[in-house]
Amino acid sequence: METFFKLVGWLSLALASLVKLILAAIVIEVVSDVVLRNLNFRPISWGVSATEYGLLYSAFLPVPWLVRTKGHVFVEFLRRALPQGGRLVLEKAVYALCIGLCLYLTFYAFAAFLDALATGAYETKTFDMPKWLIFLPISLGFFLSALEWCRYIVGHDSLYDIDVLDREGL
Amino acid sequence: MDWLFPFALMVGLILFFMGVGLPVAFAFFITNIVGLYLFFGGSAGVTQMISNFSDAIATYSLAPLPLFLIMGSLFFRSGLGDGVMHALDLCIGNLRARLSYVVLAAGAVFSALSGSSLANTGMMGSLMVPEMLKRGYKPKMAYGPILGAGSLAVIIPPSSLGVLLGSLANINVGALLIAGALPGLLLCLIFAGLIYVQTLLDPDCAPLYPVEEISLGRKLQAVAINVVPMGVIIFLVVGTILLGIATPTESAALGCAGVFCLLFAYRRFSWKSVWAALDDAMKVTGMTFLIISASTTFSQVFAFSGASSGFIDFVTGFDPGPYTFLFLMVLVILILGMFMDQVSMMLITLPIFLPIANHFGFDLVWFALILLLAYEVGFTTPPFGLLLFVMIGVAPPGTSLKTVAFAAAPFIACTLLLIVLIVAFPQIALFLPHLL
Repeated sequence: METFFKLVGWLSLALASLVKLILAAIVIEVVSDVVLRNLNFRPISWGVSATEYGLLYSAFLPVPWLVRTKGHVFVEFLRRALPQGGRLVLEKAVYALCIGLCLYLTFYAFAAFLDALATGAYETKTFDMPKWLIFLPISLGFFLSALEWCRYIVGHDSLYDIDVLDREGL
Repeated sequence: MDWLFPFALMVGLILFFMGVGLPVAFAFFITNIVGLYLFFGGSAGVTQMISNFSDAIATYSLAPLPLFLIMGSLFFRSGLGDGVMHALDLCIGNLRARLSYVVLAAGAVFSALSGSSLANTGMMGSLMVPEMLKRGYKPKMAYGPILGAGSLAVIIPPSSLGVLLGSLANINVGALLIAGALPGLLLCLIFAGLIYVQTLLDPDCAPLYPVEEISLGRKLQAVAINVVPMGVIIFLVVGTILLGIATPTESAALGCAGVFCLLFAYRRFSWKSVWAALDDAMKVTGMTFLIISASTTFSQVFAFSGASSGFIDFVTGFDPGPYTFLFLMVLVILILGMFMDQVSMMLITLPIFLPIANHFGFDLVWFALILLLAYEVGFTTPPFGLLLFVMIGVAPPGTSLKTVAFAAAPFIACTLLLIVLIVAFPQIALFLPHLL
C-alpha cells in the first residue's frame, strides 16, 4: 500500500511540476508578445489561445497534488462545533464523499474524452485544439485525486492537520 | 415563490458542505450535481458542466492571476522585500510607534508588488513582530498595523482578488485594478492617522527607544538602492495599464520580467527561488481556478432554476432604495467573512449581488471596489479570519485569538470608514479609471 501511494504521489507531483513549467511558458509567451508588438514585429498569433489552454491545464493538473499537500482551501465552522469523536466520523465521511465525487467526475470527463477521441471533435480558436486534449487533464486530475483521497481514508494523514502558515489563499 | 426552493436548496447545500469541512471546490461540485439533477436534466447537465470547464477557465482575462502570483512570490522569496523594509526603517526617524509606521509603509509597497494579503502579512509578521515586542510595543501596536497593512493588498493594484472579481463579473480588470490605487493610499493614510491617535491616547503602547542618527545622504542612498527600483516594477504593473500601453495580462508579465531583472541586478537570482515562486503560483492558481470552474456552474444552475431572478424580483419589490441594498450586501459579506475565505465568499455572493447592482444601475467598478473592501474586512474578523491565524502563527506561543482580534478591530473600523467615504464620494474610486 505504501508503495502504491508513493507512486500516486510521484504522479501527482509530476503533473504539478508540469503546471509550473506551463506557468513559466505563459510568462515567456506574454512578455515575448509585448516585446515583439512594440518592436513592430508580428505578435505570436497562437499565443493567446495557447495561454488560455495553459490556464485550463493549470486548473486541473495540480488538483491531486493539492489534495496531498492540503492545498485546497476549506472552512470548518460546523465541523468545529462537534465533539472530537464526531469530528473523526465526519472527517472519514468527507473523505468518502470526495472519493465518490472524484470518481463520478472522472467517469463523465473520461466519457467525454473517449467521445471526443472517437468523433475527432476540435475547438477552433487561433488554432484547432482537439477536444480530447481538453478533457484529458480533467479526467487525469480527478482520477488521481480520488486515489489521493484514498490515502486519507486509510489513515495516512488528516486533511485538517495543517499549519495555518501553509494554507493557500490570495 | 417558485424560486424559494432552488434558492434555499443551493445556498443551504453549499453552506452545509463547506461548513462540515469539505474543500470549497468540492462543496461547489456536489451542490452543482444535486442542482443539475433537479433543475437541469440530470446526467446531461453533468456532461455539460464538464464541457463548460474550458469556457470558465480558458479565458485570457484570468491570466494576470498566476502572473501576479509569480511576481509577488519571486519578490518575497528572493529577499528583495527585506531591503525595502531596511530602507524604510532607516528613513523613519525617532517617532513614537516608528515600527508601526515602517510596517505600514512597507505594507503599501509590498501590496503594489505582490497582490497577496496572506504573503504580505506572513512576511511582515515574521519579520517585525519579534522586533516590535522586543521594543516593548503593546499587542495592539504590533499586530494591528501588520494586519491592516497586510490587507492593503486586496485593493492596492495589482490585487489578485481584484483580478478574480473583475474577470468573474465581466468588469474591465484594468479599470478595477487602477480604481484601487487612490482608495488604497487613502486607507494607508487613515491607518497612519489611527496609529498616531492610538499613541496620543496611550503613549506607553509604543515606547520611544534610541535610534541611531542617520544622515540624509545615507537615507537617500538606502531609498535609491532599495525602494526606487521597486518603483519601476510598480510602473510596469500599474503605470502601463494607466497609460494604456498594456493590458492587465501584459502588465503582469512585464512585472514578472521586471522582478527578474531586479534579481539579476541585485545578484539575488537563483533557480531555487524561481522554482519556489512557480510552486507558490501553481498551488494558489490550481486551488482558485478549480473553485472558479465549480462556481461557474453554480451560477448557471442558480440562474437557470429561477432562484436568481426570483430572489432579485422579491427583494427589489420592497424598494427600500439602492443604498439600503448596498448596505445589506456589505453586511452579508461582513457576516460571511467571519466564517469563510474571500474566494468562496466572492463566488457565492456574486451571482446574487451582481444582478442587484445591475438592477440599480450601479457603476460596476465602484461597486466591485466596495465589495473588495468588504471582502478584505473578512480577513481579520473572528472567529475564522485567516489573517488572524497567520498572525497567531508568527506571534509568540500563547497569543490568543482575542488579543489579535482586538488589535485588528480599529483597522477594520478604518476600512469601513473608507467604504462610507467611497459611497459618499464615488470619485475616490472612479477618478483614475475615468482617465483610461
